Amino acid sequence: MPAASPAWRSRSSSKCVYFRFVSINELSFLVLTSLAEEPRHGYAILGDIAALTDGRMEPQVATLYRTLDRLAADGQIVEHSTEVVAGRFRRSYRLTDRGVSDLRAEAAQRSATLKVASVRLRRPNVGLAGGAA
Amino acid sequence: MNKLEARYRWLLAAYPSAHRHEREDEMVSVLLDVAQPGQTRPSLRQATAIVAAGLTYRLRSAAEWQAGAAIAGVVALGLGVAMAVLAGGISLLRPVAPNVESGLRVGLSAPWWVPTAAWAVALALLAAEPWLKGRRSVVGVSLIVVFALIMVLGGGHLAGFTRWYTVPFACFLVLSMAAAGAPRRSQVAAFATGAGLGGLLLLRFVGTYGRDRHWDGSPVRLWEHVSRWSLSNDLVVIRPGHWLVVVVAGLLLGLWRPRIAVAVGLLAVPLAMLADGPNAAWSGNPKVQVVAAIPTSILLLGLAIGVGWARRSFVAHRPATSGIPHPFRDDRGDL
Repeated sequence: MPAASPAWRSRSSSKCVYFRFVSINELSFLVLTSLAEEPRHGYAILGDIAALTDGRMEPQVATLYRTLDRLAADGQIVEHSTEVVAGRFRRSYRLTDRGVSDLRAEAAQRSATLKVASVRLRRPNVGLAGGAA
Repeated sequence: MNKLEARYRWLLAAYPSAHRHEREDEMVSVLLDVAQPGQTRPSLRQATAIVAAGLTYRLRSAAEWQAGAAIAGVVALGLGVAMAVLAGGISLLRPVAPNVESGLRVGLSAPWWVPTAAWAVALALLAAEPWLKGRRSVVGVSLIVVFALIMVLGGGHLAGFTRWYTVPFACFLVLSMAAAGAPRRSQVAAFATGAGLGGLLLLRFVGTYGRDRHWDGSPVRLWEHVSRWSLSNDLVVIRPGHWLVVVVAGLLLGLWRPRIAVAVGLLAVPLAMLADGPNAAWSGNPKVQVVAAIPTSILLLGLAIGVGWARRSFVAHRPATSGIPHPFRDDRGDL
């Protein structure tokens, strides 16, 4: 029987109307993208994020877990399994249906923005008034 | 368990105990995974991130007044120690910089009603808490702000400049620290203690005016009476240099026997209020003024309570770390 949600994870951003209209932040997006491939534990997520970003992003462990807690509170990820490997405790996470749909929506939005940016960058006089003429 | 792991676990004490129960082992595993070979200490960046995240969680967990009061107590401790150090520093600086004291006195002075109003706001918030379902974090965070306000404004007293702030300070400290460490069943008692001390303050206030037959209702006279509510008296005047001794003794007592400190502190605070000052209007017994050590003991014991409960709040309930070596001691137990 699941325990009551502890106070430290009671802040679900989904309860706040404001957050529904705000894009997923970069780290959350990367975590969701990482978990879209397969369930992963914290260290594997960090490694995948470094690979996804060519090493540009190396979040602190504490920062990663804040993100994981927030995503779990929002119902986008859930615990997949726990195990002890070589004396180290591993808890892996996977996407929920909601996490998949949110990631899909976010990816679509970013893709659309990316296309617009690409089109605008191909025009002459980028950034100058009349450049779009 | 190596030293690095033990140090990570100590840093993770910044998180609330509920979070540690669920996440500590997992986070330590990942932290050890990302550590460099041969690394024995967390990097500054890591340590900062862990502590900042932990304190953020603690703030978030201030969804109930107890947690907010607990954090407020820790804030008070930090500010109190800072003020005491300031007071000691001023006493050392006075021979070479005589103007430093007057400058700070101006900066730290505030109307007498400010700490009382802050205390009243805090009590009102606590009383309204049951009707603030869903907005409990407002209560917790407000308590932190209010207490910080009391402490900052009361810094003048701690530095030996003004007299007025010790009473709400003591009331709030007792309440905060009892809330920080008390079992849930005792939290009502903690609230009653804090509210009772505040009520005692109010009675003391009313008692003064009841005995003043010459008060004509003017604010100036009011101020004159209030300003006589000294927690030191003419026999023993607490000077800035004394605060360092008080702080150190309070810290030691709180670390050594926190429960005794709590018990004695709960008794000493109302006693000190009754024995307060040359007027002693509420007690009506001038001989009580002879107990000049009691005012000094207020902050001593208040700090003891604070340290004891803060220690319990931050360090206790860490099952994953029980039995581990102290991270800053070597194998022989030496620092």
